Amino acid sequence: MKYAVMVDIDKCTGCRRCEVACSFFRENECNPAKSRIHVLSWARECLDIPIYCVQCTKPACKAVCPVNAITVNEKTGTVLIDDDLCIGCRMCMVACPIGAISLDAVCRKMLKCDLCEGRDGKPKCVEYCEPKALRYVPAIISNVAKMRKNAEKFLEFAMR
Amino acid sequence: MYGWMGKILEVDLTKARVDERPLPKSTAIGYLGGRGINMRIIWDLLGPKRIDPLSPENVQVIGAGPLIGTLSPASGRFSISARRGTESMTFGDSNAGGFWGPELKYAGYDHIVLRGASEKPVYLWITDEYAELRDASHLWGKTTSETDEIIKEDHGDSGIHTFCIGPAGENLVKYACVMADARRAAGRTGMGCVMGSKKLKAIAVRGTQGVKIAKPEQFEEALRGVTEVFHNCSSIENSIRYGTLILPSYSNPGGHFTTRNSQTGTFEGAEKLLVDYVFPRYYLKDRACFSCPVRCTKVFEISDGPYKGLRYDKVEYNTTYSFGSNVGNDYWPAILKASELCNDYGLHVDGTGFSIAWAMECFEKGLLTSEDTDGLDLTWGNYEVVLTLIRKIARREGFGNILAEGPKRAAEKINRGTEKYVHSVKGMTLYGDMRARQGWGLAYCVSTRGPDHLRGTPAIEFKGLYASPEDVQKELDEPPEEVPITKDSINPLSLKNKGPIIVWFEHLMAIADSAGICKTMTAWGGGGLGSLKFKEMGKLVSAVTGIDFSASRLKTIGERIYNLERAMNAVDGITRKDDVLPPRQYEPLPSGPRKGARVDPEQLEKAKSEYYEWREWDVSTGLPTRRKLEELELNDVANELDKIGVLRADRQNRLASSGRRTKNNSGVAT
Repeated sequence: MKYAVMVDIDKCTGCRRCEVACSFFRENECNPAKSRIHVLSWARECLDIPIYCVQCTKPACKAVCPVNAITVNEKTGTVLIDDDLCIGCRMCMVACPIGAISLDAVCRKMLKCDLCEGRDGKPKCVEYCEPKALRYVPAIISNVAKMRKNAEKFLEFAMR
Repeated sequence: MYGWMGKILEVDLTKARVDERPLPKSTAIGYLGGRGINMRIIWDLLGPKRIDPLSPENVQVIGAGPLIGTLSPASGRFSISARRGTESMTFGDSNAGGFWGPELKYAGYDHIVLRGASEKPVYLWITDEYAELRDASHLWGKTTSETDEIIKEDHGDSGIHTFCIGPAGENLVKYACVMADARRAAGRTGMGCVMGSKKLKAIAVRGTQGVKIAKPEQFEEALRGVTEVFHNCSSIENSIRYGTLILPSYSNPGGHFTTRNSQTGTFEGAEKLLVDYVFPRYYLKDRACFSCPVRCTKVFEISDGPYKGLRYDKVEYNTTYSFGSNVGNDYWPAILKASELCNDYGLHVDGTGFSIAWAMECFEKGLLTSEDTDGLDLTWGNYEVVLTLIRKIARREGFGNILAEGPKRAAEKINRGTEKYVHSVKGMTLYGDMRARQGWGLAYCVSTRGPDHLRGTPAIEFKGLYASPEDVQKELDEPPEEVPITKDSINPLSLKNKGPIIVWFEHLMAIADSAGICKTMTAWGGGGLGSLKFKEMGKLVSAVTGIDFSASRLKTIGERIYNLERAMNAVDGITRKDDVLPPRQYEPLPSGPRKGARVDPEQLEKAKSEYYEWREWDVSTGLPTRRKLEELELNDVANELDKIGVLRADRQNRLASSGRRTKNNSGVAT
């Protein structure tokens, strides 16, 4: 089944635990610079928004990769970078419309969320998100909560 | 090295030089990090030398601990310390959260040593590859928020984190703080004032190096354990929901919600400052410091009245009494505004609030008139004037110039009997009234940096109101011979048997400050004994560093740090005689549910003796003995203190041995 990481911006506290969890479990060190998810903060507005790969159905990164290092797992829909093929040219980084791919400057490889595919359990960012701003849900129901929230307004109107 | 980055950045502001040196492993093992290593570095540089806090000789050290920047919960707290502070007569030491501490480690450093003073305003810019001093003339005079924004814009990188002073620090306001990310204050002891005297406006950091974990599997297991502890700890629930803003709900009925310059401990207007009133009206959402599951930062938005449109996310219990009950104000939006102003100007809220409250009481008593106050009407509850005074203090403008010295020095200047209304210990203002929580009172008295809730805090004394000593003993998870819990020790109106629990907390807090973990996650405040204690912190630090830090080893390190701090104060002549409370604490509370409660001076003296004895210190001076210092491998400190005649060589052995006996006997028997 296809799964997606969904974010509830209202619940994100900007603590960056997702970044540290990602780098610790994937790169063996606690280092946001090596994370596949990044939280952006606006101090005056008191807002924090995590940015990560949303596994596009038409991945621009895949289209521009000169060495075909990027593939899509047809079963899960996850967009994957093959580190052995990747030459670190950053074309994918340029092409990605949401800026969800970054470069690990030390290892010269591209960092992009792969939903911790092939690993046990939920993606680590989700597991360590204490306020549950990040959720790992079947893609088909990923927007149900939002739909319900809006539908409730209608419900309220209808019940009047 | 694992956990530590292994480097110290040395900055000589006089010579405008920046160097680095390795962090000695022995220092790391003996003092852990943060506050502990800061103190050791300071002692190594200055030893028993007496200095003027505002002279270039004063050394300021900033330090992160081994847990900072890791996946450990709430691991963003770093410490800034100095040989001398300006708010209190002690050394300086303060602690802040946010994201700056982790960023310092990602740039490759554990500590920064600041020496000398620059002639012109500068800021320190630290990256992975280099660190340098840069011109800060365009930042001088700017608020902390502006400084943070300008630096990020100048470098074109929103991922930079800043630790800076505001106009208050520049103008040498004695209780100026240093702000991390413009929102998190290293509040107490005037570290912003010292930084201002060095003409150092800010330290901006950007790093991309990682903190390496020695034992990843063990770390993961420790994290799971900590998460479990956290999820099962009922007292943390309130912190998650309301942050420290829940506290007036306890302190007001408990008689320690400091009101009108600590005239009493119960505020008649408290209802409008309680979470039940405030949250439905103004609460928006939660934010958090680095890697913190507690998320005590609450975002508020004011939708009406004079501060309509104000959206701000940093307001604490301290702010609530400082600009609420203690100045007789029940209009909560003004408290949020005061919080924003203090943070932007770089003013420590307690110092600011108590200075204004002192002035208001003197105004009430007719000792100050509008002639003194630039025509301002300092009547209780006049929140607009409170906000005006905050601005004037930061700019040292008119009457603000007097208040900028803090109530103690201000009273010395004004005289006219105004010193009677000063509430400070060792020069530093209180953290609330303590007549109805006397263990805290004792902790305030003996604290190494002046009175506050972040050193001794025997929060568990409130447990006596609903739990038995046996239950508390069990929850504390310490053997009764080590930390005896008695009916008195958990009775907030008693001063008996408080020594052991205060000492236990003092060491726990020293470890939290040195490892780099926020006290909210520890057995602190609200009596959260179910939360992180020595054992859990030991597991985390051991896994991160690969060095075995057992609970007992951490306790020894905590004790070493505390003794070193007391030794440092001893150099400046601070002894038992300075462990006192402000006069009003000896008068009965005039109103509220705890009406009549007072600190008995004789009992306090007895309690002090009991505390020193428990610490195996010299009871007559309240100072560590040579035997104690040697036991803690502080032989060099003992030698230096001997040289300046601070240690009482003739009596020390006898006292030390009798102290040991007392410790063993007093435990369960009482």
